[in-house]
Amino acid sequence: MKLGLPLILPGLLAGYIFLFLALEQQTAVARQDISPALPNRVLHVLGHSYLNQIIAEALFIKTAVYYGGLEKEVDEGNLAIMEQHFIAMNELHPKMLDIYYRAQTVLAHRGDAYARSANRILENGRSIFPNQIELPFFEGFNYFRYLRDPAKAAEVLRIGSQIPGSPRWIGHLASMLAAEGGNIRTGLVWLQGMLATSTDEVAKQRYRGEIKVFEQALRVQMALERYIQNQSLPPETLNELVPEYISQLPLLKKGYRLEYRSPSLYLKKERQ
Amino acid sequence: MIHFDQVHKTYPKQINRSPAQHALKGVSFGLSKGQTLGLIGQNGAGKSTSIRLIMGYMQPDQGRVLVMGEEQSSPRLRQHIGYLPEISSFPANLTCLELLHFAGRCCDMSKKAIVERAEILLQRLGIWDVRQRRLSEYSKGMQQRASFAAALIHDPELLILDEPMSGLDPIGRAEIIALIHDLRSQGKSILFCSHLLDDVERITDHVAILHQGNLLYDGAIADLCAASSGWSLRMHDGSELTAASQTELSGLLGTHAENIIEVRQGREDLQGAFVRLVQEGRS
Amino acid sequence: MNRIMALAYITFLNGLRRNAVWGLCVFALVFEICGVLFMDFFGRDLGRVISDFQFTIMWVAGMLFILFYAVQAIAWDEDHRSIDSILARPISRTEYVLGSMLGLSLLLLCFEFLLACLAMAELIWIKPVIGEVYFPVFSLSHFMVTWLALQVLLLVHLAVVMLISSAIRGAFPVMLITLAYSLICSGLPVVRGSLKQGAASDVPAQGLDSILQGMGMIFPDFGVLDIKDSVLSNQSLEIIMGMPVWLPFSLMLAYLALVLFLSCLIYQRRDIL
Repeated sequence: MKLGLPLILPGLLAGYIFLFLALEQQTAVARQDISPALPNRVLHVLGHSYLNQIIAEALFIKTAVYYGGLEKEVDEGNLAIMEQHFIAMNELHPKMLDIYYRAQTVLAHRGDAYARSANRILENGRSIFPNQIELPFFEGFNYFRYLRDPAKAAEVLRIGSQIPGSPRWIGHLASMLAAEGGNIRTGLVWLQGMLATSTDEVAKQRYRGEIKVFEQALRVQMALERYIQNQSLPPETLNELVPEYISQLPLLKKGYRLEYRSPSLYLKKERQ
Repeated sequence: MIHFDQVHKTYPKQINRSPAQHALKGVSFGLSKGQTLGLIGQNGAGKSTSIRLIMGYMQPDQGRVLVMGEEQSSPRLRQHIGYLPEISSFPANLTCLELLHFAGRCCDMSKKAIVERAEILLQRLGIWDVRQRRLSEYSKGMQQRASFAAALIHDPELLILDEPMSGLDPIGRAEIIALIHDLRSQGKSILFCSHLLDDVERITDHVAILHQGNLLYDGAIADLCAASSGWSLRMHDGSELTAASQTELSGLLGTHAENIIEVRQGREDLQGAFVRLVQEGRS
Repeated sequence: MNRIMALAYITFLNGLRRNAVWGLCVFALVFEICGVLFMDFFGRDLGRVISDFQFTIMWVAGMLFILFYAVQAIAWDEDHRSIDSILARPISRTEYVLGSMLGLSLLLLCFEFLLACLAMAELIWIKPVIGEVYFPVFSLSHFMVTWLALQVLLLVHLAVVMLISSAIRGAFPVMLITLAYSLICSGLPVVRGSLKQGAASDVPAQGLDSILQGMGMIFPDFGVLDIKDSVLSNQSLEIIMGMPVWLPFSLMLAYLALVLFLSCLIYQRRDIL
């Protein structure tokens, strides 16, 4: 027993270290999963309202540490939990800007459902931060790029363009996307507004060229509307409009094309 | 100064605890101005309840408790009362001086008066040297003395001392007894409780004895001890005869008149009288 | 008033000399300093994060003080019979309640003031360091009003502790009930919010909402005094709060007065056993 005593402590320590490392190895794989956040209502109650913001910030750190530590792409299950976290954070602390940026970074490009989720968060952000240009830009971008809804994108970007200090290209983009979304008339009005308010001659020149294209497209749009009014049915192709409703289909400036998907007309700008 | 008039007090039944306790059952006794009264009884007799009623910590269920002619409900009355509780407990991190300042301020004493009086009391009680130490660092005896000082700081007319000798060494006890005698000579009215019946006999002439909420005796100690102690008769030949009652005494006097040298009345001490009364009370 | 002040003074002194209170203070100060490290996890809203962190520390420290020190301090008086020594003086039960409350409030406010000074110093120092983009606005006046709002919130909790202590003996039950009270206060608005989302035209739900509204008078929503966001805004407080500033403050102070009044009433009527 006496001989064994000096060996007991090192033996215990060695055994403990071995078990610790074994557990670390096991949990290293498990750590690739993020644990769900408590339901929002529970977090609200636990937060005593005064701690809501710090709980949101703690959840933010949790997601940041998880996302930053990933060795491979996040899987669907964990992504859904991340989404839950962002929704919870946004409800607890809507005034925290970082949440909007992070939601955009993590969720928007992951598919339709997540893009919509990111947009709901961003829409909430727009109401809290009406003068933050990035938020309508992100939301509009998501509608256009991920959700393939240029009309909605245009609507949101237009709101962004009216924020004081907003760069003019946002408004211009809104006009283009409006036409691309089938609202040629709306896009034309916005472009005309931009022409009227612009002080840059180069930009003004450009706007004039674009307005000309929009007007050409609008003439086709109006012919289409008259056809539908008279025939009660949309035409199968735009050629049916000629010559009764329009003398000829316009030849648009290079880089633009008209796309007809019955019953709507879209003016698309070709991208290089 | 104090008058108990058919006072009843019952502690209500507690959930999952003991049944209702009748702490006082129609108790009546009094303390006159300048008198010293010892309130004695076994544990649970009703002594602490009586004191708490006097101090206004509780209200009687029936009967009246009058202190200085008033029903004890006004804190203003306590300006004239010095109370030494059985368990001396204070905010632990205060010094003795701070405690006395608090006690004095509550009685609207000026700072100067408090300082002067505190010095006199603390010197008398032998804790002047430790006046700046925290009360939590005091021994039991020192805490008792500090508590005594706090009870006397405002020079009250009526003193209520609950186990004043608790925690004191023999020298401390002697000093406190001497202090109480001084206070008596100053005309203070003193009501005190103690289990040390020797001290009660030394300090006071009157006692009230409580037993299970009933008042067994209220009167002079001498009368209590002399009540039925019997007589002893010393004979010529050195032997002694005893008589338990007056009838027996008369009989013996008639029979042995020529041989009796001395007739002495027996005297119980307070301890013996107390035990006898309690046993009679039980039966 | 003299007696209230005297009791408040010894309560304050007693607390000031408690090592536990100083320990809590030191930990809170250390955590506040660590707030600077906390902001490292965030990319954009650094000013907001640090400000939230500082006020959270002040709230947590205040609540810990109330739940673990104040509750014990009040219970100590009865458990260790020091209430006998105090009430042996010509102090009424009302003066006892008010004196204890005042002493504990002063201790809490001093403690919180220390934390506020450090928090303010940190925010003023950090702002130019991290730059305009990440910390655009810091309003000192709003900081002070937010701190005051937090103190009112904490004082209401302290008053509730006094009320519960007046009716119930023992530190642990008082602490549990205070926690339960706090949870109800934070849960009630969540329940009301859920109900409103559920059925706007449903009559039984409207009846239930009225009951919950009534309960809200007993278990107030402390969220009305959560104005931390104003520290980073130049807008007026009325706009940020959506109501006149005096309204929530007055409501909470009135609630505090009512609670203290009830405590005094209970203390006056109960036997000190």
